[in-house]
Amino acid sequence: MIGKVMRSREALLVLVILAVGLLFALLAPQFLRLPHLFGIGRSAVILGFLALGMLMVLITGGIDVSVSATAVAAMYIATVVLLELQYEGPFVVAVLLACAVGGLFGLVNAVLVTQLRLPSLIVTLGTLTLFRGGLLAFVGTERIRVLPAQMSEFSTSQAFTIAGGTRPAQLHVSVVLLVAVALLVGWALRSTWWGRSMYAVGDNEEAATRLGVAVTRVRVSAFVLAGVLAGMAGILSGALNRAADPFTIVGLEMDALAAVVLGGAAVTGGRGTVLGTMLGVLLITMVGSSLVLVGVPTAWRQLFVGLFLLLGVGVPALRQRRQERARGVVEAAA
Amino acid sequence: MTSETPDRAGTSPTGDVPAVPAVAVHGITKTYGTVHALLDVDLRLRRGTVHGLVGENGSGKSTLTKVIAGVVSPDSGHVEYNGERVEHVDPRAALRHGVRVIYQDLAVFPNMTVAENLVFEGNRPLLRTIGGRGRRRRAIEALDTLGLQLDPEARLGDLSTAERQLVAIARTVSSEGRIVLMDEPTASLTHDEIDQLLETVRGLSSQGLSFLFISHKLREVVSVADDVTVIRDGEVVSSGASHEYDQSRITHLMTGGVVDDVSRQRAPEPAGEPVLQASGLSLSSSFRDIDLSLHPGRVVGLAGLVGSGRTEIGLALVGLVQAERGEIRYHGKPVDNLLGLSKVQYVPDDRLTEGLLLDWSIADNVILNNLDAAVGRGGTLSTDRAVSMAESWRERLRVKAPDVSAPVFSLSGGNQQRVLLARALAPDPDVIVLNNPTVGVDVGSRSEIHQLVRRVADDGTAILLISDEPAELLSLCDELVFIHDGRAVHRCSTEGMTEDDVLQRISNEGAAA
Repeated sequence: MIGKVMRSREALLVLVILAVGLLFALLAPQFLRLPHLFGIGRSAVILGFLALGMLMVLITGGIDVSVSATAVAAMYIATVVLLELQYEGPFVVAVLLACAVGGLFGLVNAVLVTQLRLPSLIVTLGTLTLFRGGLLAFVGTERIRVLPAQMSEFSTSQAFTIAGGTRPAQLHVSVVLLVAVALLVGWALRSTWWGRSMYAVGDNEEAATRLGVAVTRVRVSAFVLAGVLAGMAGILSGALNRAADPFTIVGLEMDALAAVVLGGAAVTGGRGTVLGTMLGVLLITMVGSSLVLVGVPTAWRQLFVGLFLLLGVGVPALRQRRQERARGVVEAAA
Repeated sequence: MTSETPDRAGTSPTGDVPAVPAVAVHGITKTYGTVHALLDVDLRLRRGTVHGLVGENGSGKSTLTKVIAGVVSPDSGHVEYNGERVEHVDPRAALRHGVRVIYQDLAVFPNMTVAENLVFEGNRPLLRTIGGRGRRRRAIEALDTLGLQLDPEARLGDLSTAERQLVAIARTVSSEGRIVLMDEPTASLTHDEIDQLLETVRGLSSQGLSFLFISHKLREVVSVADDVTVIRDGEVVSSGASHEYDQSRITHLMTGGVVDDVSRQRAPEPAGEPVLQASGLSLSSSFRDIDLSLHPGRVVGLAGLVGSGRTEIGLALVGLVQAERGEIRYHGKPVDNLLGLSKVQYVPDDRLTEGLLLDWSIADNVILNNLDAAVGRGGTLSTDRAVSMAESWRERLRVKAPDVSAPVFSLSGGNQQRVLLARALAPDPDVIVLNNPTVGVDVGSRSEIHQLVRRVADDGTAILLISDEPAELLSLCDELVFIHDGRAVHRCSTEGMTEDDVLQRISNEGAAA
């Protein structure tokens, strides 16, 4: 039993995170200070929500690279609408609005993928550009600095504060929110028929169909939820940065994909866990936001994300290659 | 096991009132292209009984199963479950009526564990929770029912074919099915496992479950079934209580009197140097210490269960699988790998996914392994040469098609198989490995393909035949090698052997070894 746990991807990631953390701590003592650790949590929120959505689509055997465009469009559209209405009420309405817009964009992906039977990579590459282009063309290109009051205030809503040292350590509410949503998604994937059907569809679509799974409905739900979670990521990003910037979050879909495959999800579908994904998010965010502490330019973050992505798909591919060789599969002639 | 369950309430215990059948199909016709897969088929599966459905490969058994399960929709005719007529059957409708299917190609989830596979049901309300404990216990009970010693937490993809098949069967038992369709459930099982399965089927049917049991192992059918339906070329040729049938009558009905038990006229003793010789060939995941000699003009058969390693041995000989140890000699010279050598040909059993390029024309498929012969003066492919080459093969193998520019997908199974054989024969090979060369072809094509194989052997080609069917092995081979669990456990001449001998040996090797 213990051997099995140790061989799991999650255990491996925990070890890697501890090792990398130790390395940072040795090179830069301030890494272990609470303000920095809580800061990592805050930085992980946007990526965390994007990755959760990506995970669901990956489990069903698809991929959604449009999540970043969905996130920014949902955030910007929701903000513009609320400003037009001169809305001053609670932030939660902005969140719901952004989630609804995101879900709508997810539905566009879902319809294209399931009704036209197009490969999801191509569809979402298309919508990635379409959503971004549409946003810039029809809604606006301007960075909005004056947000609805409660949205700005959210950026300083801390779950709790630990006083001490030169500055107090503050854990932002959105971190708690991410953990709560992750727990909910994890439970749903494990313990509801919807969750099991998601894995079934990604693992063996033909078998799922024969066993009566509503395959289309399941795949649509994955894309729509990925859109909703992207909308969540978007509006939180706007609130945390206290600005609605249509040029933010660009490229974060690759970080999300890297986090999910690092966490053990298979790009071929049927495999992946919320815990693994969250550990992947943690590792990427930790490296990204701590590089500066050890004197490495932040620009290197992308380099690491690329490496993580290739590691995430490379390790299982190598293992499979080894298994194939054991079965005597012949290498293609060079 | 009490026999009084609510489901039996509708059946009079004395049997004098005709009960509503669990499944009744009426006038089902299904056509693929120009071929009738099913033609006006009627079938009644009585509740609480086992109904044997027998027929040769390609006779339409699997299509009929899929119609009842709602996976294939028929062109005409309708299906009734428990007397209720259902116009448009889809998998969910069939499931709702308690239909469970065990497919030949396993409908399982390799990334899930055994327990997860056992408890998975696709037709549940998506927003409900699974309710862990009770289901897990039922999963383990289902394994116990079939006497299986499997770790419920093992990943299914890591198990053997036979074990996966058993899990698929256990799932049906655990999922509250009332009507169970089993499509060749014993193809990869050993004798003991088969006995265990048949006993379970009988036990469950006495509890009110109804089984449609599809097999071409007639002994199993005769021993387990209450009723028998024989199907040939998509039509029901006979149906009745099983005591009216014995194996020889069923055989006669299945083949329509076209008996294909002519064995080879000339069975030369192995003489001279073998064309292809393997010694001590091993691949730890599949087979061990295999010695085989293929001589010109001789047909050697590999007999064994699905998953016994026989296919991998064939693949290793032609170089499509790389063995870890052992030696292969081709015309006496040691070779590392024969892949790409046109004189050594392999004919796969799955012509649709491993064999033919379905969208390409007959001509383009036939020349594929012999491109040199189709090269014209300019050093490029010559359409004229390709067409004339393909034409001559079309005539020789009597492929029924208007002309060789027709795409392969438009042909029937038997004609597709001939195109596949033509491609393998075009380079005039000296070794051919045939893997189930008559899967899914009609009876007529089958006997023509058999004649062709004999003729090719008579012309001096060395042939290795891998087959599921004892009749085919006996009719074509000079010598049989029985494979069990990756080892060659027995070798013998086919002379004087009966199908029963072969079946016994295949199924019993597990116990004997």
